[in-house]
Amino acid sequence: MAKLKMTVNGKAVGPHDVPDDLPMVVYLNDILGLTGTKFSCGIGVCRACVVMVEEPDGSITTRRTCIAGATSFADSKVTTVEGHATHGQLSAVQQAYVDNFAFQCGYCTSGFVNAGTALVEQLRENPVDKSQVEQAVQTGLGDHICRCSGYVRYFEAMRDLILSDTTLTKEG
Amino acid sequence: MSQSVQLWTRRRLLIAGGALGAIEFLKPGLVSAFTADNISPVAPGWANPKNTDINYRVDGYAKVTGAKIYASDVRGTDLGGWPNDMSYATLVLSPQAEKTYLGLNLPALGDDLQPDRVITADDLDAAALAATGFFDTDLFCKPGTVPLYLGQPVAMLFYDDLATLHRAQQVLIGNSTIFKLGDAQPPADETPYGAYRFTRVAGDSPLGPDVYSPLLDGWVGPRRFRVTEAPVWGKPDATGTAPEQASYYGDQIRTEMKAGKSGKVYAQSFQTQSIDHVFMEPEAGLATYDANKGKLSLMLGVQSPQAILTAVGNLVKSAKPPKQVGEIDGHFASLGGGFGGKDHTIMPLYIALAGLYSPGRTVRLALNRYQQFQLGLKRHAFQIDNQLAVDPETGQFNAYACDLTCNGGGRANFSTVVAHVGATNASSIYYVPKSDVTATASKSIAVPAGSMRGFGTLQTMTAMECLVDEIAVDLGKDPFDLRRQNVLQTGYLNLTGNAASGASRSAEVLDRMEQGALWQNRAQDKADYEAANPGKTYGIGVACVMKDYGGGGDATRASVSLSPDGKITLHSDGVEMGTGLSTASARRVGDYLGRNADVVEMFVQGAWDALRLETSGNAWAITQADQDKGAQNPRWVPLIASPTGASVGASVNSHGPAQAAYVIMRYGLYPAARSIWGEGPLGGEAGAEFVTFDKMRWVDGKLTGVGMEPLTLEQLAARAHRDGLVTGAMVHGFNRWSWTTAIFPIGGESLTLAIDALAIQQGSDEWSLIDRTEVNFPSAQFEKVGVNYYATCGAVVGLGVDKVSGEVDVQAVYQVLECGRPIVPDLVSGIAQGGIAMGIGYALHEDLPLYQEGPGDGTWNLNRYHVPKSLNVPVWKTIVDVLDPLSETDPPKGMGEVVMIPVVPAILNGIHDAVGARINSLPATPDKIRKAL
Repeated sequence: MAKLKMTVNGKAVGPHDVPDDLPMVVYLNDILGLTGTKFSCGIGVCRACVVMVEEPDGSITTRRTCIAGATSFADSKVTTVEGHATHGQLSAVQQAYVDNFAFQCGYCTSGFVNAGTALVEQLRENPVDKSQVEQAVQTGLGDHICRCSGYVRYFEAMRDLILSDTTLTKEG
Repeated sequence: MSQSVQLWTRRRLLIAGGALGAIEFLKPGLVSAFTADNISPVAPGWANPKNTDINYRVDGYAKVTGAKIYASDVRGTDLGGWPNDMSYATLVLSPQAEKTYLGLNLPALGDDLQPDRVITADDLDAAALAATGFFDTDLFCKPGTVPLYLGQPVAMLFYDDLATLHRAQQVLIGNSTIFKLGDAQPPADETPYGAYRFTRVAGDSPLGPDVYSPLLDGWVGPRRFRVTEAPVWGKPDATGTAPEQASYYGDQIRTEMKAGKSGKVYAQSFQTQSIDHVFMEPEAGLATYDANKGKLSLMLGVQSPQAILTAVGNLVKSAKPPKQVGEIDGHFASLGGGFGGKDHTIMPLYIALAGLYSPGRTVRLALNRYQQFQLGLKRHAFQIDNQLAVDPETGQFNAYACDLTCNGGGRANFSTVVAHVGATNASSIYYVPKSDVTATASKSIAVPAGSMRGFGTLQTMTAMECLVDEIAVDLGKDPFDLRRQNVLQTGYLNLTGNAASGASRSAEVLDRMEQGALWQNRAQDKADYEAANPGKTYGIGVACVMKDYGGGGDATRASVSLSPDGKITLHSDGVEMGTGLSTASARRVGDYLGRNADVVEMFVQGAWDALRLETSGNAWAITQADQDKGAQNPRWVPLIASPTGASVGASVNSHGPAQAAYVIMRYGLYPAARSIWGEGPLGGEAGAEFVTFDKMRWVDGKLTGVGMEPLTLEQLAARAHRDGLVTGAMVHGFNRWSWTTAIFPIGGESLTLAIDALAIQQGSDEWSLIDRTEVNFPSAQFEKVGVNYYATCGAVVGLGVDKVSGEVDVQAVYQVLECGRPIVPDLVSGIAQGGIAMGIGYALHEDLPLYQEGPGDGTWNLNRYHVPKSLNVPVWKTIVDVLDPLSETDPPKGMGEVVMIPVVPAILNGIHDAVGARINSLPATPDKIRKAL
């Protein structure tokens, strides 16, 4: 049992008494009431449970919350799907997904929102050639499973979003 | 601003009364006692400012912001009036079905993981709780007996502490030590669930009349089953009963084929595998039980709410104290689908039990993915033995014989229906003058199989499309020419002896496929691919299918209301499965009201009292006499509600809203416009023109016609409310391979609509029921049709095969779809793209052993079950081409299932084109391809 505290969606949470083996997704869903992070396979394969984490150096990564204990996020800065829109305004990635009819049931969407956002942030630091955008999307989202969409509209949404932001690409 | 209000309040259904099994709907007064829980956000921005078009799905905002819209999101604190104290339940599922189960060995869990409570079969017996009706099975395996099937529950464990539950669930994965087992025993009973024989002999014309057919002479079942479980058909007799005639004609067809009288016979033995739906949300729900009031409350995510609550009613109808239930309060999450896997799922019965055995607490029962594999419904595995007799000179198909068996596993679900739907679609897009198809739904100890996208036709049409490809190659004919030559043309009779609804456009689909770049450039693509990929061979495959939609008994309930300021509110009892029904329904209202619904509430279960509907009998088996008797009562309908399945979202569920909107337009907005245009001396601006309803047009969100001043919906709504015109309409519709039509006295006219019940609002919130004066339900004979609504879809697939490893890499897919009038084209193409990915998984990757070492053993998850990821799908080279409708009045056709089918045989045909290997057993794994080479 540990006294767990962290920052979630910009707000300090905790301290909470949390067993070492309680998965982060359960902590988010049942302790914090943030059910946007989804449990699906429970073994880290499908990535529906992915959240964003800001590293100490300011870089953005993603982590799977179904295979990681909540205590492993101690003192981390975590962003879940609930933390992207501001004042009702969708983020660019969220907007791209809805504009492209990217998902159907939507259960995988929170993972795609976080992965897509992390990809954008990574490209902002390290832009890619325009000719490599599709490969970058594949690398950024390719491990996520979606059963409904065939991935086409998720990928097209991200490609078009990246190509529309000149800070994310460079001329090859 | 448009919004989607998603209240649990309306997505709930209460049943009560002395006989719960009979279902009695409570009065609205009791419904209003419930506290609304508006825990879903509005969906800003989904429509354009004028609300005449859409920007994105109604539920798009909710889904990208993580709103609580799934059953698994909900906790007790989310539901007003539910206990905040939570308990957590988990099922213990048997990993074997060969040995006697003697009981639980709970100490194997360890001292710290002992449950707070346990229920077993003995507890259910003591309380007289039993699954009957559709779910007629032992909910828990009884000690001393052999489990009925792999994965059968043996107990439910309860934990009041969440962390302990999670530890226990981890320990239970693949754990056999918790079970006390006895000796090996043979399965108790493997008599098939049912069988059918569909025999047809055409007359002189493909248009009919037939000599013999299921439509003319009735559907045929076996006399009995042999010990070997094979059906025994009637004694052949040309003048005997229908089953005897079927045997006579069917045997004759097969004898002629065997004797070579029907042409060259191509035989095929084809096997399809069991797979899992892998909907991303594992099944979950909440329950709470108030023992003092006898009230059981449920929070579920299902595709068939009424059927499920009927089943829960059956479960508790004979319960003894202290488990007696006088009222069931069902709540439903806004998303209920899962490719068919949440249609008639048994999981809600266990959720109900969880509640009954934790009075005063809110209990959550949620499957983890291992349990979902172990307990969840599966796709039926098929064995298909096809024979197609073809004139080797002309390529004409002369006769078709098929024997198919589908494995339903150890608990009856929809296996017999899957068998007959697979059988009646087995000839794919082709016309064959003589056919004899037998279909058997077998029983086994496998994890139970049920409804899944494709519903038997995926299996049978895949086999047929591979067989046709084989014939084309053998006869040296172009695959498109052979298909076009034999295609079922408009009016031609299908396997049951019935003509398809509307024009057949399969030949157009084939033409478009052939014209596509993927086919036209195939030689260059092959050369380029093989040059760039040494050791790999390029192949191209084609296939085209026509899939039925509809269930032969489909109902829709909907209401549309217009506020004085022109806001449109839509309620529908259709279930949003993720495919976008809520968006499509909102959009379809705009056909008549000029813009989308502003408020959309789907899954509404408790708002239809104004229609005062009554029903009796079984809509699928009713006699004509009983239907005629029922029709004398203007409140009577053959079926009140039905699941959202069988691809009926567009065709049935959006029909109700469209009809309701039409009534408002015809008797509310049109007379309101006439009133406004007629103001002034001598009839104002309309006085000099001949203004009629058929001239009305919505232009840029305003109503005009015959040169009249365009009017906004706000103007029209205000006038309609002021004058007491029709401002709301509530409807019920019923389809049995044809729409019910009825005449209603309204506006001084007799209006014929494709509905059977109507209530209206006239400038207020009050509903007035309008009794129909005449009704025409589809004849009871229509139940013999079996299939008549079709959508056609074809696929061309380019792929590479590694000649050493046998690995297949799908390079590009070009899919052509005919689905009538797409309501929301972006939704249609998105569903099609998803269908292609699912088809790729079925063709190449997904496979579950039926028995030992299969999902019933509790060790399966996505680490060993391969769902296609993006690298398995030609994401950047997937093209979906939808044929334009013949006119804007084409009905929207159900297309959710058909779009996953043709890619499967096209891949198999592409593999043959690439390496010459004919794979007749799914999935086409590298190992099978290597062996075939």
